[in-house]
Parts: sequence; C-alpha cells; structure tokens
Amino acid sequence: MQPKKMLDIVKDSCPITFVKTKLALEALVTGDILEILLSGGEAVKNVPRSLRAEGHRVVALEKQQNGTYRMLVEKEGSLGKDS
Amino acid sequence: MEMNIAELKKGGFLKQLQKDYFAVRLRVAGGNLTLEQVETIHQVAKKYGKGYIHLTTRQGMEIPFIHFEHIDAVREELRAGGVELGVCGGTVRGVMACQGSYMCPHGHVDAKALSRQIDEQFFAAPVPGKFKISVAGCNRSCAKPQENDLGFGGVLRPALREKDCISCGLCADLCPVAAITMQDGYPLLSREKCIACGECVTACPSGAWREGEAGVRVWAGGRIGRDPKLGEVAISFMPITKIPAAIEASLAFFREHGRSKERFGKVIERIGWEKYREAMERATKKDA
Repeated sequence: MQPKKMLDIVKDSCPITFVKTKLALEALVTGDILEILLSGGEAVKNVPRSLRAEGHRVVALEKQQNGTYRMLVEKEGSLGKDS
Repeated sequence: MEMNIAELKKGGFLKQLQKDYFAVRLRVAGGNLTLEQVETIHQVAKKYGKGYIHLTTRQGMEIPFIHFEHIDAVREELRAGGVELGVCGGTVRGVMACQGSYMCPHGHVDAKALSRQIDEQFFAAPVPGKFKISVAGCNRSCAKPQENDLGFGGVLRPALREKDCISCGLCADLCPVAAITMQDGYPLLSREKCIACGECVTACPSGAWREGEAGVRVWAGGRIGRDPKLGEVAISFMPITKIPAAIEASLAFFREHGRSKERFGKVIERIGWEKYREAMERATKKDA
C-alpha cells in the first residue's frame, strides 16, 4: 500500500488539521492512500474519526517513538464503514 | 391597580428596584429560541422595555423595565407570538441543555430534544423550592448538570466489532481511566474500570468501537447559591426512557420532605442519600 502523498500536520491545531487533510484528499482520486503525520492529543482524537465520518477509510494508525502518530488513509475506501 | 407581587413573581414577573417596573422572565427550553420567537421578543421589548434584553445564567431570557400597567399586554403579545412566560419561586425552572448528539461530535444523547420533552412535561410544576434541571450530551458536562438540582449527562457503554479493528491502539491511548489494554493486537475492556464516557467510540478511526448502549448518568443535589455544592451521582447509568420516572421520583421526594424554599440537595442531605437513592432505584427499575 504505497502512499500517493505525505502530509505533515504535526504543528497544526484543530480545525486546521482537518481542513489541510481534507484539501490534500481532494487532490487525490478514490482508492489513493494519503500518509499523514499528526500530533497526539486533540489531533489524533479528532482527525481520524472525522475522516471516517467523511467516508474515507483509515487503513493504519501507529504511534511513533516521539509521541506523534503516522496514519494511512484511503480516499473513499469502502471498508470499515458502518454496515 | 391592585398588585399581587407573589402572584406576579410566580408567573415570571420579577420586581425591580425601580418603582413599578418588572423584568419579565421568558420560558426557554434547552437554550433554543426560534427566529419567530426572537422576533416577538424583539417587538415586545422595543414597545414596552428599555431597549435591551437580559440573558440569564441558565440560558434564559428576561425583558427588563416592563411597567406594571403593561403586564397584561406584554403577556398577551408574547403569547400570540409563540413565547411563554417563565417562572420563579418554588417551581421546576427552565431546562438547560448543551448542543448534544444532534450536532456535537462528542454527544451521546440528544440533549436539546430531551430538554424539550422534560420542559413539556415538568415545566412550572410546583415544589417546595426552586428546582433546576440540566441535560448534557456527554460527561464533558458543558451544560453543567452537576450544578443543578437534577442533572443528566449522556453516557455510552461501548461494544467492539473486532473484524473492523485496525489494531492501532488509539482507544487504549485515549481512555481517560485506562480501562482498555491491547491484548494480542486487540483492545480488551475492563467493564469495572469503564466510566461509559464513550471516548473510545468517538475516537475509533475504523468504527470497531461502536455504541453498545446509550443512557444517562443522573446527578442530584447540585446548587450554587450561598452554600454551593456539586451534585452527586444518584444513578450511574440509566436508559433515557427512565428520565421522566427519575424526575417524578425526585419531585415526589422533594414534596414529601422539603421545607419551603429549601434546596433539593439540602433536603437529600437532611433525609439521607440512602433514602433518596432507594426511591430513585424503585422508580427507575420498574418496567416502563
């Protein structure tokens, strides 16, 4: 699963984190993977679930040594949604 | 003109320092007013008031500087525009609410809808002292349920659908009481530690954590006043369908044991939390 693009929002705060992620995803096509680096706390609490609510699929989320998170999101992924 | 101050006060007219003037309290449920109601209030305040509106500390509204000669006209014109008068004294007051699950990402219950239902059923019900109710969508408590005589806060018992779990461990990281641990790549929940805050369900990126059961926590005896005290948990988890029964039981307890103008929390303290909790238990455990 190769990311098409990487987005670093570690230094941003809500709701800029979400806005930047949304814009980055808009530039991709369905099925593309976006890699996102984000901080712990509010960002990781809110960004992943907001993306899911928008219909994207969070494929992976891992905590890094330095406390930030690395996330892979599939644009409009079909799995993992409510069924 | 004869003025019965006590009667006026009960009906939402508060005597001002200024001779012959009253502030008119309005009935607001859950902090919402329709634009039609706002328009009505605007018109009445413009015609009879002093050019401004007072926002109360409990999401209510008052029109100050209404001359006693205009009291009937104000009441009628407000009513014709869909606005009812508020209450004072020993009554169930306007019900507060946060935005709740209708629009807040954190909400577990529809606090606004619940506050409207409570208002419809219990507003102005007579009791020995003032009785304030608030409904919060989750236990972040934006609507301050613990500051009210009776408060409700949305809680959520989570359920896991393992096949959707991406083993990210975010739930275990975020759980405020460390009730979740990762075991063999999947979250394991300690029901004993879980406080039903629903943070895991809200944050889960894959939807594996989902709503098991939504309900409310009930706090009682909260007040500010001269002897401020936060309410205590009366029931830690209860289905929302039991809210009317919990209110009925609390009002009945208040009427049976309360002295005039006494706050509900004081009554519970005097009679005993055990007795109150028993009464609540009895009322809410019954099949509805």
